[in-house]
Amino acid sequence: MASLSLHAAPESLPAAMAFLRDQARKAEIPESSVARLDVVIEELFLNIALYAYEGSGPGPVQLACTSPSPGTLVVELADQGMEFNPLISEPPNLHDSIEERESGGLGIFIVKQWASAISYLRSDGWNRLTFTIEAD
Amino acid sequence: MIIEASSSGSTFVLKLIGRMDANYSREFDKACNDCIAQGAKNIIVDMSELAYVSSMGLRYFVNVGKTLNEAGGALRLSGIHGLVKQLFQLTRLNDVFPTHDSVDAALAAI
Repeated sequence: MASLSLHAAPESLPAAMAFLRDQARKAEIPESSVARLDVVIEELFLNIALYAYEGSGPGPVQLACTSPSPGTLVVELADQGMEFNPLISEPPNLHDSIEERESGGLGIFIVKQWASAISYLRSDGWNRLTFTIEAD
Repeated sequence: MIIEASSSGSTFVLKLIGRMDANYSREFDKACNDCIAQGAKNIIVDMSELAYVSSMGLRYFVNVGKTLNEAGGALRLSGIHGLVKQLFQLTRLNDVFPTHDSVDAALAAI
């Protein structure tokens, strides 16, 4: 297992992305899925960086990766911020008309579409979000 | 990301080059609002050299599109491809905005 601990701050996002890209390539994830992983991790990481430690000062975010088989990468994101399950969210409306469209809610929708086996656990003061990236 | 802006009358073209992460999403939003402040009714976003967009970027596309629509214009997409196209298809935003193969085709449609 490879892991990386970072400050939960937007400035840490490039390091998180670089780490996961490296792990994905080692896991033989095709480049098209590596690009999707960028979108997924930007959404999840920024949610933690911007909101998890709101009012309590900066804290850590830990990334851990395993590759159970070539072409599969399991990622865990963990933080000690306030309890928050990002998977509990209203699905966005996907109306075709601009008038009826809402601008929010697309990020976690994309995560749910492009990551598989996604799960959330609150344990010993940690939020732990686990997901799998596979060849598309 | 680099934003190249040009205009003709009330039609503005913003060419996005590179990757639109969360930070650059705000720059895109600002560039669009600058166009609107200068009288833009239609904004054509040339995405032929845009390789990445974050979910925050998508949010700004919707917001700017709403503003232009209310003014009787539109946000138009040109040259969308690759990962960015996949994102617009996944979120069905490709059905929300008029899309064109090229800036010339977008200009001809206005």
